[in-house]
Amino acid sequence: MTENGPVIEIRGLTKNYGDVVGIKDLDLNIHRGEIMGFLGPNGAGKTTTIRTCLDLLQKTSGEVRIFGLDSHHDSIEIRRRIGYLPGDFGMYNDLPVRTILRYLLSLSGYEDDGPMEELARRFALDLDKRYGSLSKGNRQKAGIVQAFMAGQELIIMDEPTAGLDPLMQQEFYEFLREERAEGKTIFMSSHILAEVEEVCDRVAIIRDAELQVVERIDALKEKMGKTLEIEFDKEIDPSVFDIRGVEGLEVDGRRARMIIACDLDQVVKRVSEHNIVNMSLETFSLDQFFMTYYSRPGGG
Amino acid sequence: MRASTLLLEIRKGWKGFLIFTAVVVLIAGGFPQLFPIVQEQFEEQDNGLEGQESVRLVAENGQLLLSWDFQHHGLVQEYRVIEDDAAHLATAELVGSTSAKNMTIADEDGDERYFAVIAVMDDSSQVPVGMASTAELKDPMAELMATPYLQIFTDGRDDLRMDDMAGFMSIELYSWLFLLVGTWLAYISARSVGGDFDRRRMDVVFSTPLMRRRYLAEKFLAISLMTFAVLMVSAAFMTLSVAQVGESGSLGAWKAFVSLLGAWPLFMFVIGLGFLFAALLRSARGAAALTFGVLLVQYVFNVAGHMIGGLSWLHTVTALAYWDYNSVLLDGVFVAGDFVLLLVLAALILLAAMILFDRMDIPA
Repeated sequence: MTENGPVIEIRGLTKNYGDVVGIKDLDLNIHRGEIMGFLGPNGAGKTTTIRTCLDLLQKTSGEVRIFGLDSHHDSIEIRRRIGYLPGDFGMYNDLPVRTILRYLLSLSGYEDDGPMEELARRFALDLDKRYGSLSKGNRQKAGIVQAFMAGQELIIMDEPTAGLDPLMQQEFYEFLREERAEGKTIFMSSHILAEVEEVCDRVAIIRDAELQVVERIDALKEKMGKTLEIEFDKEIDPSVFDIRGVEGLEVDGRRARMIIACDLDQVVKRVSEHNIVNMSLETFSLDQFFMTYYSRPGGG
Repeated sequence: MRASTLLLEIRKGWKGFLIFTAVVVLIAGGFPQLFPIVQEQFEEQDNGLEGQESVRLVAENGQLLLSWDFQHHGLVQEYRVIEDDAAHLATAELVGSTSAKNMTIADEDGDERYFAVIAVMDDSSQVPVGMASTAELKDPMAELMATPYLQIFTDGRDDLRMDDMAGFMSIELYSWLFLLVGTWLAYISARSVGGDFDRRRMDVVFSTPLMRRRYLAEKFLAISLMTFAVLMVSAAFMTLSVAQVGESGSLGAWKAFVSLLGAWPLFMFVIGLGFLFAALLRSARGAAALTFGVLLVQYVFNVAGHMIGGLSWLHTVTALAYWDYNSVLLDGVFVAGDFVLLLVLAALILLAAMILFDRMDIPA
C-alpha cells in the first residue's frame, strides 16, 4: 500500500450463507485518516462486511486488502494493526475488566496498559469491577477502550455508541475527532444518522446486501435540497411553482410546501408577485435523505 | 506473544478445579479408610460357620452323626437341631430335639446341608451351640469376585481381590474414576471453547493477532495441566490415606502416582473431544452433551467387552482400554506403550479440532 492508497480496499466482495446472500459484489475504499460511516437497515449486510474484512467470516468471492495485504492470507499481520469493537462485546463475566483488557492487550503484543487506564478515566469506566456486573453502557465503554487501547492505526467498529448515554456519545464523538486528527482511520457502522452526520467524513449506504452509494457527507449536503414552506393571503395556483428544480409540491389552499433543488432566487422572484403572509426555509436533513434511500425500492 | 490464553484459562478456571480436586481427593483419600472395615467383614466370613468348632458332623453307613459340646452355667432343657440348604439358615426347619449331645440324621447324597444346634435352657431361653455342614467350606472372597456384578469392574483379572488394598481401590475407585473426571472435563472443555461462541467472545479475541490453532492449543494445555494437578494431588492423598491404615505394602506411593498418571492422556483425549464438538456445534451445551455421550458409550463398550464373551473386541476399541491401572496396581508394571498411544490419540483429536476451527466461519 502506498502512503496515499486506501487503507481498506474491497473489490467485488460477496459472502453467501448457503442460499442466503449476506453481501453481494461490494466495492469500497476507505482512505487513511478518514472516518467512514457505514449505514444500512438491520440485516442489510453491515456486520457481514466488517466481519469478512476481519476474516471472522470467509468470503465467497471478491477481494479485501487492508494495508495492502490480503485479508485472509495475511490476516495475522493485519490484525496486529487493527482495533475492533464488535456489535456485541461479550467477555468473561467473572473477571475484572482490567484483567480482560490486559489479556486482550497482550494478545495484540502490547504490555503498556497506560493508554488503557487513560481511556478508562476519560470514559468513566471502573476497571476493577467484574465484567458481569457492568451495565450495558459500561460494557460498551469497555469495548471502546479495548478497541483503542493499543493505539492501532485502523479502528473498525460495529455500532459503537449502542447503549451509551447522550453525554457519553458526545464525548465519544469528540474522541473520534481527536483520533482522526492523529491520522487514525476509522470505519464504523451505525444506525444513528445524526452520529454519521456529526463525525463521519464519508458515508457508505448498504441495503439488501448491496452498496447503494458512497459519498462525502458535505457533498451530500450540497446535493440535498431545501424544504420551502409559504403561506399566502389567498389560495394559490399550483402552476405558480412550475419551475425547473422544484419538486414534491404540495398545495393546500393558501399553503404550499416544496423541495427546492435549484437556485432559490428563481422561486422567490416568482412568488413575490403574490402576497406572502409567512415563509420558512429548512435544510433537508440527512435523516430525511437516508430514509428516502432506505425506503426507495432498489435504493438510490 | 506470551501464553496469555493459557494463563487466562487457568485464572478463570482454577476455582472450579479446586472444588473438583477437593471432591476427588475426598473420594481417593476416603476409600482407603473404609478398607479395614471391609477387610474385617471378609475375615469373619473366612472363619467359616458360626460355632463350627463345637459341632462335629460325620457321615457313616448312610447316616449323618451330629455331635456337639456345650458348656453353660444354666441347666439345659433340650437341644434342637435345625436344617437349611444355605448357611444363612433363613428358611431352616426343625430336624428334631434331644436331651443328648448327639443326633443321627438320614444322609441324602448330593445336597449341601447346613445344621445348627440350639440349646433350650430351663428358663426357655435359647442359646446357639454351633453349626456344621455337609458342604465344603468355600472362599467367600472368591465367591464374591465371581459374581457377574463385580466381574464388570475386574477388567477381566482373576487375581483381583477386595481384601487386598490394591484390588479394593481398583474396584471402589479406579473402575469409575474415568466417568467422574471425564464428565467434569467434558463440561469444562466444552464450556471453555463453546462458551466463547455462546457469549460472543470469539469476535474480540480473533480481532487480535491470535491464531485459532494457538487459542485451542493454549486452552488445551491449561485444562490438561489443571487435570494433571487434580490427579497428582489425589494420588498424594490416596498414598497418605493408605499409609495411615497400614496398607502401603499393597498400594504404595509409586503405584498411586503412576496409576493415576496413566489416566492423564486419557483425560487429554476427553478434553480434545470437548474442543472438537464445541468447534463442530459452536455451542457449549451441545458439545458437553455429545462429549459425555461418547464417554458413556466408551464405558458401556468397555463393560460389555468384559462381560459378554463374543463381544470382547468392544473393549479394545475404546480409549478407556488403554488406561491399564490394574497392571500398575496388581503387577507393578507401567505400560508405557498404552500411555504413548493415548497421547497420540489426544493429539490427533486436538489436531482435528484445530483443522475444523481454522476453516470455519465464526458465527455472529
